[in-house]
Amino acid sequence: MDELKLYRENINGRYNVLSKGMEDLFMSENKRKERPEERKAVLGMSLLVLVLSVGVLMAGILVLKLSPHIPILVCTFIMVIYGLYLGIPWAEMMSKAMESIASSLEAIIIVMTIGMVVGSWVACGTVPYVIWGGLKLFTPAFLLPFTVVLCAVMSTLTGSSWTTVGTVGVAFLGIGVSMGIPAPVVVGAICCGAFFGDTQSPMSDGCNFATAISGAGLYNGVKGMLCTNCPALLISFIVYIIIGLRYSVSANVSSGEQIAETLAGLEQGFHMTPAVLLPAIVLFILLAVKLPAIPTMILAAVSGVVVDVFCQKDSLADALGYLMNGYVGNTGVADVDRIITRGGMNNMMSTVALMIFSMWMAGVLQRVGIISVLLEKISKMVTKIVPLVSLTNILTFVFSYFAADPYLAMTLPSKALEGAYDNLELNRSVLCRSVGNAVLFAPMVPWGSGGLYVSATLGIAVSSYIPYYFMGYLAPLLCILFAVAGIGNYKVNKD
Amino acid sequence: MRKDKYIFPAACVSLLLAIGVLIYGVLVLKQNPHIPLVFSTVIIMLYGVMNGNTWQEMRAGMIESISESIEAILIICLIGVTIGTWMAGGTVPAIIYYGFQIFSPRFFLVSVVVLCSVMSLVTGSSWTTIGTIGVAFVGISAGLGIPAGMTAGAILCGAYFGDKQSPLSDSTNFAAAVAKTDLYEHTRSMLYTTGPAYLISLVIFLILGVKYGGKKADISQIQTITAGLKEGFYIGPALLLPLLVLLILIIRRFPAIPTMMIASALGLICTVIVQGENVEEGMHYMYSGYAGTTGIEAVDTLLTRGGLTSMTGTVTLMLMSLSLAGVMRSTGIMNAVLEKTGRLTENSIGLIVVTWVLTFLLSYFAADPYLAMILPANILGARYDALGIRRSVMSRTLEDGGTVVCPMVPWGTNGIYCSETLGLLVGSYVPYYFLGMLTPVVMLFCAVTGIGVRRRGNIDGNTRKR
Repeated sequence: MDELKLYRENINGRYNVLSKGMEDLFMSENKRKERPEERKAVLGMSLLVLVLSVGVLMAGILVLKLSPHIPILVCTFIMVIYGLYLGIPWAEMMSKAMESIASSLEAIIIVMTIGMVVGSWVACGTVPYVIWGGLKLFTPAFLLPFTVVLCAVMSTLTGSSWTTVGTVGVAFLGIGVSMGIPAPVVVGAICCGAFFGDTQSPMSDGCNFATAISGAGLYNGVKGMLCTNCPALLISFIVYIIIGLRYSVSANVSSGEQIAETLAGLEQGFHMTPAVLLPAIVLFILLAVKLPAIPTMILAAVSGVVVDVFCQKDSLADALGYLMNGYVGNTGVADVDRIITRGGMNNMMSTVALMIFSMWMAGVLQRVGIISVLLEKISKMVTKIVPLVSLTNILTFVFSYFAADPYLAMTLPSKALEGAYDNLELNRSVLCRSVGNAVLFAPMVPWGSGGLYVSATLGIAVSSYIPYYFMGYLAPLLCILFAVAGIGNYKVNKD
Repeated sequence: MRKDKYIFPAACVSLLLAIGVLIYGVLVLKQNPHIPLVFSTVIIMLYGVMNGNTWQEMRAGMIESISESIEAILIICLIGVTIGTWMAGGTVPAIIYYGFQIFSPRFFLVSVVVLCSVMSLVTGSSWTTIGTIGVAFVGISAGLGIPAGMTAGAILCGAYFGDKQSPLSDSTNFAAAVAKTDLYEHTRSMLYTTGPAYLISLVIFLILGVKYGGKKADISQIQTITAGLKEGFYIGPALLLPLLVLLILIIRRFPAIPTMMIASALGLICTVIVQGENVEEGMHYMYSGYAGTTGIEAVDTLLTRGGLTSMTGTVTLMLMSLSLAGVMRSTGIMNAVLEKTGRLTENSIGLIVVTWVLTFLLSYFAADPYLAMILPANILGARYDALGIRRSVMSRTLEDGGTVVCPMVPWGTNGIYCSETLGLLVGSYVPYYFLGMLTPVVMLFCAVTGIGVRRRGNIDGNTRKR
């Protein structure tokens, strides 16, 4: 903590000097600057700024089809101007933004190391081997539900949705696509499983954070979340069975031929031996002994390089190149090449830039106080159970988009609404499962770390897999339904 | 932390291994420095584990080290955005156009130096300058009877000096970031060493030029470029407005991030209003950079630049190198090594000279200016703090030993680029690359006399007390 304080002081010191020029300039331009007092954000203006920002984001991403970087930058610009209008010094907005970016730096480093892992695991044959084995074992009808279950189990055991998506996810996407199932559907199934585990597993940061911030306690909180998440997963599972049946009915002869062709392509491109599963074993051992994420990922990538050099007989230079630039398929079979051209730190770079930008925006947003003024007004308006639970879910959803960070999206609503929960004598586990949905919303935000990560790793745009990501709708819906029905561990336990 | 007799040898071995991996990866395996940097970091982490550091300590070190440079990372991203809009908006084309208008064949060499530095200053890239107007100048010099090597020397002097002074240059930002100093302080500090060297070079070129003056020059190549610019863009003095605003903001010491935001916004306005492109295209240029479409090759290469995506490689490299720096700091490996070998770096002259020599050797042997700056910055940074010298002195010494001399390294990326683009052997222009030869002399002079070796503690808490 001391270290953190030290660098904050350092940053503030630097900015105070830099900002003097800025303030001077604005002083001379605006004569109304007699009041050095900072004004508080007001509701009307805040709403206007928020709506304007939403407009810019929507117009940029949905209408103009731009990648989110520049629209996010424009939003930040708008918020900075509003902040300056309120009299907040540039230095303070910036130091809050730096804090906000600093809090996501570890995730940024993890993203880059996962890029390395994916690149080396494809190159060394681990992923192709799993695809190859999976294509022989599964039928299309069976694949989707199996993906959900496998991802959920892996993610619950490891506590990390990102690891699951980057390893099992990449391989199963390959299997699904080769079977002729549309990629977005497979990605939806992968995310349902992976992010279920992330919300639910006591091993995961997301779960621990949700239970802590809502004040529910780990055991109570996990129990509360299970009430809604398990049925939601079950329903998703059933829906995937139905979708799977549809594809197995339409699985015609060409699909069988296609699979044979894919198998041949994989065999031709990679040396298929069980030894290529070594990196996966290394990863599981490291996760089991609870090594921290960054060294785990680096070692997983290194074991991939070793296997690549020994099993696939690539040169060391090539093997290291795959870490940087990702693997580029050259089997000659177009379908195979498409599913195995993946990974690399390079591939994650624009994601990294976007994560930095969106955390910058989130930091400015917080400092300007737009969110807190809105929360203050809204939290006074609800006094009944059902509207309260609905509001918690809606706010969590909205902040997942605006703050672009699940942790912030959990913190803000739970701090604003916890008093209301206590007044109604509701168990905090109800609050916990509502704000815990932020983890489930993460892959639905195109500029949030979760969405960015999934789309960069699996190569599918967020907007295309959202319709198949059932957990994201079912979990909040069930939260509200349970509140209406009054079931699911929701009154305060007197003992 | 453990204190025993094995620490010193272990620290030395780990450090040498880390450096070895880095150099082997970049030089022998021809990798980008990113991945070798990861491996070096792992080696230093292993030393940390042996030394008794916890993962939490090392992680905090990494995060803290990157946190200190977040500003620089944002600036680099925004520079890409700004360059994209300035190209599309016609500001850079206008500057090039007007630059050629004042070109004079009479004082050929001097105007080459000046034009190249202006061009580098506004585009932030020495390579772009060399690859475009540099090539044109070499062609013209043939008509004037000036040796190509001499012209190339003049081009490089201008291009690299402008690059070093440009707040738009990624290598300049990189040096300031790895040395953990403010960008503008870094460029001002560099004026102490590269400034005099540049002026002396100008005088030498003026004298050399007298011999060749008076002949009629064939400037058709220049005319092609200006005609191409005129065709592809609306060119008028109004387009210089963004540059003017940028200069005013820089002089008024406006913080760099809003400066760049304003500059890119002005560029976008120019793109939409003056050049008549739509907003969608303008924003696209901000993200993926401008692509020249005039059909004239020299013009298109000159203008195809910028965009956020063009900067992400540098950003990742910074993240990697800063993590390495953080792990080195939190494990205290440098203290362990320098405790026993610190005699050379006990005073400011020794420290500066050692920094320069280390950077210079690395640029010669590792042949990559970024790598050459990363290592000395990480190894010696703490010594500057200990001696109370400002980090900006280190950052300029890094550039003096690294980027300024790198076109003289025949196997380095810069040397290869220059010789291939200009069609000359490195050896033929080295004798005329006065900037590279004079800078170390001036630097040594500054170090010995103490001119420009600024001490800490007179303005702010810019450097860390460690």
